[in-house]
Amino acid sequence: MLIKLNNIEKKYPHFQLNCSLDVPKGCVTGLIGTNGAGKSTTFKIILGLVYPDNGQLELFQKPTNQLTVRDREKIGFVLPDSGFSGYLYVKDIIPVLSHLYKDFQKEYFLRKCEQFGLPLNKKIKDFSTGMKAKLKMLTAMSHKAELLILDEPTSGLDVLAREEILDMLREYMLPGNRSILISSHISSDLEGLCDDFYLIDQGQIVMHEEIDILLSEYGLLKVTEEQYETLDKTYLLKRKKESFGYSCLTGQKQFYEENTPGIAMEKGTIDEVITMMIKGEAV
Amino acid sequence: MTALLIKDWKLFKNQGRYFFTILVIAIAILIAGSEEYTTFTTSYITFVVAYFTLSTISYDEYDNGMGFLMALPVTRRIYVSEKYLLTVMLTTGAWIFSIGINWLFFRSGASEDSLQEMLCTAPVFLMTVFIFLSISLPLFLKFGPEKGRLISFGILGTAALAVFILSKMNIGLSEIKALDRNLPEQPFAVCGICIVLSALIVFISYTISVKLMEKKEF
Repeated sequence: MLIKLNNIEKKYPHFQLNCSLDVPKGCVTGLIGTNGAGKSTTFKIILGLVYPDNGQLELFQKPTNQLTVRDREKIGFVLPDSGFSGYLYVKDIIPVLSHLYKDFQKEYFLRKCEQFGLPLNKKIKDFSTGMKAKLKMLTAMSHKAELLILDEPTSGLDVLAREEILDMLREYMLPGNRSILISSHISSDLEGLCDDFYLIDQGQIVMHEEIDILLSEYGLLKVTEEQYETLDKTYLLKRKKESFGYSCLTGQKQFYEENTPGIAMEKGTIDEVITMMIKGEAV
Repeated sequence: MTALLIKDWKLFKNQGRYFFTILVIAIAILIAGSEEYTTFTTSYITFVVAYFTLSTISYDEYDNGMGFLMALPVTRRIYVSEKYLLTVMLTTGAWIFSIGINWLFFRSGASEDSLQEMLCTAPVFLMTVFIFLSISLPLFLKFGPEKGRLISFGILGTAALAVFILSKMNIGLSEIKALDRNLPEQPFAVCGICIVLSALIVFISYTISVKLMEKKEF
């Protein structure tokens, strides 16, 4: 495991995080949830910016208090609304990065800056939101990191720029021994990139599933009240009252397709799962 | 630490126009001033540069940047060490530079008395700046630049007020006058005392700052 969180707890006056998650080598893991669910706190705990009250946290199979600076060089990260001082130019951060990271790839960084249209002679504070997002991604990815920790990396990017970033991430994963922990509000980004995901709500992990299983086996049943009464509810996870009757989330789509002919069924997506798992009621 | 020093040096360089303006003002004051040594140029240049080292913390905090810096492969102790090293280097550099400018301007016309006065007052001023920085740096790191600035100026204002009240009450005045009479005759002793006291104060401040940063969450 490159990241292992075991019962990590953090208490605030109006919020409590209790989180366990694993990010194995070679995997892209998504952390999804609504605003204020605890995603950023989890990222900050992993990056050592917030100290947990309880629990165990391991990075590269080492407790975080035993991590060396060299270990931390193996991490690339993106934090939302946070980066190098806006009073620096891009050309200024190149020598900074080359002194921070032994494996900093200056040529790659410069090539990507040109490709992304990031001027070297402009102060970062004068960059657009999209340009800042690209620079942060580039900073995270230009030193052969083994682990990327990306909190909302595509926030503020247009469709084309997002695709460029996602392509970079897919290319990054090619060697096979690297991992990514990523959060995003854009579920299609995660569906096309992640191997598995954790759903967090009010500081608790409420679901962990592989993306392939979500897309192939999860479904949303749309049933009238009469259909609902006679429905086998064994494999229903959540239900939600609708004007026509009920929407029901299942993790065994095939069971209902085979045993309830003619039933209206929609394919499972991350958005549907989030909505149903958080807003839905127990069956 | 080199990476952080480079970052702050780049920030310093990017404020080149600001520092050039300050230098021009300082030289203008020197030209317009008397031919006697003036403490103003030394205090002005040294304090402005010293204050810049504090403002690098504001630049680091810009757009929540401190969290970003602390997630880089840099320990919190290294971050604090870099800030103190930068502070000592730039402030001492600015102080030496300002004394150099004074000396260049007045080397022909300055009396022996005014040069001796410079040798005595300049180290005391440098020590005063280090005391100011030693109070301000932990406050800036603990409370952020905005609150830190208010609290540090509040402390210095209170200290100045206390000195003013004590002098009005004639408490310690005779001792200070005696020091004022005797010290100019022993410039090297003044320098030595200032260096030892500055080093001690900066070291205590550094230790406090490291502890504050290691506890801080971002």
